[in-house]
Amino acid sequence: MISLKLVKQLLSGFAVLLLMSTIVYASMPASAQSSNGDLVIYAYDSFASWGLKNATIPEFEQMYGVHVEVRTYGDSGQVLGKAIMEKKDPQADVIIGVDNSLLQKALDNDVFEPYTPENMSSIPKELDFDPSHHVVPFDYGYVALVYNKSQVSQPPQTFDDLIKPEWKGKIILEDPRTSSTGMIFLLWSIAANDNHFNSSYWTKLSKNSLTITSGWDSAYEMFTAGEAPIVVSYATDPAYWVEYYNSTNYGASFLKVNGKYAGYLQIEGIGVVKGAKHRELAERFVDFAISPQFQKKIPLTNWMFPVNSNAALPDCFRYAVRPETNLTIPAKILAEKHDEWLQEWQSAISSGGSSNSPSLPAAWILLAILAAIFVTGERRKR
Amino acid sequence: MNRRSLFLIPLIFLLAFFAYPVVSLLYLGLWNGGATLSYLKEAFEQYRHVIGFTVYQAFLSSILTLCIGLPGAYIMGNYAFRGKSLIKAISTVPFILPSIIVVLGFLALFGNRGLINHLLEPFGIHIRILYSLTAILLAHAFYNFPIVIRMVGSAWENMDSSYEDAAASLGAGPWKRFLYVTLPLLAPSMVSAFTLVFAYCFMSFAIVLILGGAQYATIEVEIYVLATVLIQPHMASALSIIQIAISLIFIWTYTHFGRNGASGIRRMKKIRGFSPASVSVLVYSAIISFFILGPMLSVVYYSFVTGWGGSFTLHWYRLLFSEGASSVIGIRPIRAIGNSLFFAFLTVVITVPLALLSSFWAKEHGKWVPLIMVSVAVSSVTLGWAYIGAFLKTGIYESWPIIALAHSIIAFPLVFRSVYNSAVSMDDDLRNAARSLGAGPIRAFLYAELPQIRPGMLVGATFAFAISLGEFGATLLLYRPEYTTMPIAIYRILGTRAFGSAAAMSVVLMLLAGISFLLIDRIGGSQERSAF
Repeated sequence: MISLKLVKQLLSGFAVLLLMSTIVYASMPASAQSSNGDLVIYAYDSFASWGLKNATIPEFEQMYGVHVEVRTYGDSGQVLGKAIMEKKDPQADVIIGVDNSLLQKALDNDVFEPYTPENMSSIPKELDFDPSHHVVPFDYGYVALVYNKSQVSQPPQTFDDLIKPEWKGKIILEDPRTSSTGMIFLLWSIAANDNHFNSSYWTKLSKNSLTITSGWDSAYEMFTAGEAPIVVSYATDPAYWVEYYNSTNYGASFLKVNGKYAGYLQIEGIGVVKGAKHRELAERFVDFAISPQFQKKIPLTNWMFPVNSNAALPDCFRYAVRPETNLTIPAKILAEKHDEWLQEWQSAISSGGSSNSPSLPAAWILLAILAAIFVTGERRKR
Repeated sequence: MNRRSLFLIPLIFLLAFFAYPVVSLLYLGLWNGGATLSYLKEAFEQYRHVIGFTVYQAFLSSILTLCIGLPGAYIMGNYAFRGKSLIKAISTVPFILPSIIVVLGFLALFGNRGLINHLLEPFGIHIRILYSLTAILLAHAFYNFPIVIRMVGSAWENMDSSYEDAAASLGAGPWKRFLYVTLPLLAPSMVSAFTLVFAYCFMSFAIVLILGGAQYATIEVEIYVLATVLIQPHMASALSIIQIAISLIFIWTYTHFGRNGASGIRRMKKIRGFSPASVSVLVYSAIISFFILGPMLSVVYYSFVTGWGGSFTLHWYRLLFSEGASSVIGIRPIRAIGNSLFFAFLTVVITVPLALLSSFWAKEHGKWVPLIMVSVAVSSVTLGWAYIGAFLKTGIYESWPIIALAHSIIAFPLVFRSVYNSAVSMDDDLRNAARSLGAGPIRAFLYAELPQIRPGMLVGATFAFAISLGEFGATLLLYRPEYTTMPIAIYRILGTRAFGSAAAMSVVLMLLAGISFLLIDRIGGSQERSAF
């Protein structure tokens, strides 16, 4: 005998499933079928979140009658990581955001196909950071300490100032492994120290900072939300605050090295992925990225300087600061030491890293005790 | 055909989507032209502080969790009072809450510009607990203390009071009674709860990633960085192997200590009116309610205002439907909700039948149960990385099925546990009677067995749904923007500049998780306690 109750329950269960799958189907169609664009671009978050994407991509789509898909994966380090992982079967055609600190890693892993755009001559020689043109520059800027003037009257002046107690918990840094901004800041500190990584300095700095975020975006979000009055960001930030909020409440400052305000230049590049499925279009996009129509959008969205000398700067860029001298680490040393510095950095900042932390011995003793309990418990069972 | 041979289906599934990825992980971490320990050694050297810190924070978190949970367990195990079931229900909430919501709740409550600091501002007090060990510990305690209340509380509830009575009649005072009678009887459940909480804290990812920052990175975070940024497959695998090995110790301890079946009848002390007992129950209830509801309510608050003290707005919810926010997460936020439901639905559809088939088999082969559930020792980040290693060159890499499969493997142990518990207590005579009366196997299953297993299946299904909804680590490694789920979307939005949007998305996620929580509480009853 089939009970009516059971039938009802089965039916209602079925109805719920049906309803759910309908909802799901209705919201899924484009995802379930592959929606690959005619051109796939990998970029860092702020390319999309700060507006350069919307200011330029539609124009390119119209020019060539194609659909461009931009995928963002955190900060530049993560984007390049994704590309390296997919090297054997590249998903991206163009990668935006490989800068002078990541260049060597990109070259070592053979991610890019060399390509020299036709309009390359409009870029000043000194910005052409990859002579082999696996990557060509599209914007540049100085990494700087950005601070809230209402909370900070006199920003830190030197790298040593940063580890003073008065700045405890007031600075937000970025992880150089994931964030290119963080990487440039790390290189800046190394360049200021005669190209040597100072482990004890970084242990102190990491303890003195509020936090080390994985990307510039989240660091800046915390800064604007008032979590800390100082953030490692860009020298153009004051211009942003003037333009959008008519506020001169935010300053940017460099750090003194040998008595002079010294900065470290970041040059961001764009390149065609080796083995790209849409190579032709990818090359057109690189051309487009250094053309004046793309370049003139950079200042007010990406808040960096355009590399194309023909692109005019907006008025607010008067507020962007420039350093007295520019530090660089020679490409050869950078290529040699890059990975080593990152490893040393990781050891220096990891919270068990300092000798006075109880965590390491305590953890091992604990693990031993628990393993002992585990073993004796096992024995008792038998 | 023997029904037990249907176990081949879940077996093949587990071999293909759990064993194979793990083997490929072992291969990457232990093989370099021949078996080698050099990667493991290197990982130990480079990451010894990280490994030490991971164990250390998990240990402190578990201690703190016990401290917060034990009074609750005492109250639940000894007193009957009005509102007990409500407190019980509230204390289950964190367990079902996606970890990303816990993170957001903590940011909203304890952040520099969070609710508490705004409330304390008039008094000139400013607290800073985010981005520190304290924040990690608090979040872990918040997330896990319900386990202690549930496990220790139910052991207490089922402890026969006659032992204590006997001790009392022999002249033992309350402290002596507690120390020599109650505590030894409770010890197994406390050890179980401790090891389980330890394992969860040890493998925790979202909380450490966001509330910790690079200084407080744990093994999980480093695996994530090694796998996705530094692209060092051997080191990532070696660290993953270390993660699995340490987790296995704890999970084995858990399974070997746990489950004292002893059940007796315990007198509940009734609380009425005003007394020291009622005041302490009230105070404890108030504290945990604040602890649990505070972060969630702060998130709700921030989703409806323009900012602290700002005016009411639906702006953030409207953004969920707009194209604007898509520039951050790659798709319209509303699609992330659809994706999450889609994966949760698939996870249910995949895991429940597999758990059912496994249960029929495991019922006869009880000693294999721990092996069926061994995937609990693999953290979600490790699983995500193992999937990349195993499937990178196959067609399912970066496809939507790979995410559904990862969710299913992660949810499977709990789903299996729920179904298995029902299957074990099932009366086989009913089925045999049905068969001997001429019912076919399908009919016998539908009418004799299904009604008995159904509660377990429903609880399992709800677990599958809730786990998939909240899954973060594996998804973060495996997704591509068009398959963004809600937790990923919240994480990505949080990474830019829109707390309100993240809060609105979180409220939607909380509602969905809340519905599954209500279902568990409704159907589950005592079922789900044993499913932990």
